[in-house]
Amino acid sequence: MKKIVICLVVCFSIFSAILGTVAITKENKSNAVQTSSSMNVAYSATADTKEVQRRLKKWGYYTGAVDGINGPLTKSAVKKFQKRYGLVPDGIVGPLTAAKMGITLSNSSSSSNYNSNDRYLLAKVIYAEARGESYTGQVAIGAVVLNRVRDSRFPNTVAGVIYQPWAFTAVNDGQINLEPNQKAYQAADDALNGWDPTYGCVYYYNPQTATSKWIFTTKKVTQIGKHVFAV
Amino acid sequence: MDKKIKSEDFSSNVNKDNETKKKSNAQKVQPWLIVAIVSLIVILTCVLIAYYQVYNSSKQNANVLEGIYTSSYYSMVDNVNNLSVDLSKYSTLTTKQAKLSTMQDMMTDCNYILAGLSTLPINQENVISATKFFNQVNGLCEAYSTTLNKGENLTQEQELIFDEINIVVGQIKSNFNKQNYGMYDTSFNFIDASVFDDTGMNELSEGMGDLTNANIDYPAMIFDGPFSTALETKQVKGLPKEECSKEDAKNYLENTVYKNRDVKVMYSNETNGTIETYDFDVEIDGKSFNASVSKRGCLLMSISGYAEGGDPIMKTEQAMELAKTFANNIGFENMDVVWKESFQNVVYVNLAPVINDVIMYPDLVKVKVDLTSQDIIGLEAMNYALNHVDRNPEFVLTEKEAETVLGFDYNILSTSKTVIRLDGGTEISAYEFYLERIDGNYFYYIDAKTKEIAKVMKLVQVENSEKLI
Repeated sequence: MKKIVICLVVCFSIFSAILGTVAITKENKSNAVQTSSSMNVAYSATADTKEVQRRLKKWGYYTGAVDGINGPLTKSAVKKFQKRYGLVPDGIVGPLTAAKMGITLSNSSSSSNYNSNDRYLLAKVIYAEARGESYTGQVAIGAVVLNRVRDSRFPNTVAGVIYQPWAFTAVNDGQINLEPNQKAYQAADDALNGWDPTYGCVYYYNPQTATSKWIFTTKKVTQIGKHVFAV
Repeated sequence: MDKKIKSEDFSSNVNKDNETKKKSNAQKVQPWLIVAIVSLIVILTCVLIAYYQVYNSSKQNANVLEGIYTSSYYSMVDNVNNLSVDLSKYSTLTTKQAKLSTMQDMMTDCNYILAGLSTLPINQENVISATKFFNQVNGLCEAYSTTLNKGENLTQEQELIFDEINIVVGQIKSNFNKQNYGMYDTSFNFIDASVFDDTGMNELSEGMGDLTNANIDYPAMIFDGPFSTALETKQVKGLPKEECSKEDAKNYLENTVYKNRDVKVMYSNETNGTIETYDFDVEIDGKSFNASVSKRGCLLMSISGYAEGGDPIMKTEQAMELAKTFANNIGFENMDVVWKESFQNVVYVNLAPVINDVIMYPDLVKVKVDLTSQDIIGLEAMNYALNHVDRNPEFVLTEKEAETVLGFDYNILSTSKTVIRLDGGTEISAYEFYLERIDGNYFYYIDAKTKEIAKVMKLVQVENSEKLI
């Protein structure tokens, strides 16, 4: 009898697991839908009328009082501003007009904010390729990526260089997806600020593990830790 | 007889009992079997479903990847053909506007070709020449467009380079066409073809290898613009010819750079790049750094160190002053702070020589200060080593004349006379206007000779720090 009960419990658990998986999949799908719908509402935010009036007054488009009332004078000033900047003159401060004014709409980011993916991508490749190396060795990896961006023989963006097929082992084996640590971020900052311990190198390799014969034909410039840097 | 009957009765009873027991045993086993079979079926079904899902998902991913490769390949081939046609068109054009428009088309073609080259799983060494060629065609078109936009004409020699390019593009096109025959085979698959063998080559690499063969004579494209050949052949102008010894470099670190500090300097390596240096491991107050000193002129080229973090014990303004004093004391003359960037208790201070109120931006030296330890943990002087020369900048226009090109709706926050370096490496005298516009703050650099806007940079917020883009 006990065995029957155990078997039934096992069967029940298996069915629960299947049902659970189905439920998780559904939940993921609904989350995805939720995310996409929340992206759609991001632009429905409104600007602070007082801030709009203050800016328009400062730049000579608005002559009324800064009272926070979105009256005809304010709308007319917004229209003038929009015409001046080639926007649709509808008198409404939407995302484009707000961006031109340098105003942050609630729920949206300011036009002066800039999302630098280069820093993140550089930190990722540094961590994946050289987390066991010295700090200078880590900066050197970042510098090689940036030297490639500037070199006509390679793609012209940080993402293009890092994800160029077969360029970095860490991309092929998936280590690029590891979360970089603070040291890798700081090394990326140094590289982006111009630090280049390799003085212009565009290649590096570990002489003990490199399999490509071609890489040994490049001119060695220096060695930092296990990596040889070359041009 | 009775006994026999009794014994038969008894044995039949025993048999009956056994049969009943067997039956009841059989009845007891049956639910077991059912449960076991059901469980087995459920497990098998689960495994099959999981396998099917994984198989389907990997097949879909492979199809999507194959689609990306295929689309990149055909887009690349089409645009090589387009470039060839545009180059042929160009040779027939006589008006500036038509030439500008065609060069714009050529730049678009090049960008598509480059996107394809960087997406396809081709061995790197087999695409570098082709990538360089198309990047340089792109840069050449940009530089020539700038010349035409200035109202100047291209020289006959400059025009002839397009004919040379056309010949090379024709050869590349022909190589692609050969490769194309293989693509028409319906069993061809980019993913399969991209698998590397023991020699580090794959089917695609071998095919594309033709692009780098010696039978293609890539023309030398010397022009003043992005990806010009001049950018690859950097020369060290800022360091004296005389070389110092390893010991001199060590003494310089101990007695000048880390004067009056308890420092341990150990030689580690030599770097023989554009700038040749002696490299040292430096230990100071229990912290380790790497420092490089140029062989020519014995000047500090780099300090590389990591900020451990903690609470700040100095202000950004103090860090700027510390950086300025440090740079001036170790051999960089007339240095002043021209920019600072502060992030997570680390301050990057940009210093440049300021001579007769003119900021020499090409000679930039960067110093990294840790606010939590009051230490200089980084220095970078490659620009100084490459570019520093005695200059006599000429400002033909007045500041007021230069200001007239700034457009409308702005408020000037500061103005400076500067020398700046353009993309192709040329230096110009320029007025720097730091101004507030309605959508943010900008730095404008106006050529002090031609009144052209040489460079515009916008101040942006990136993760709680200000950067110039």
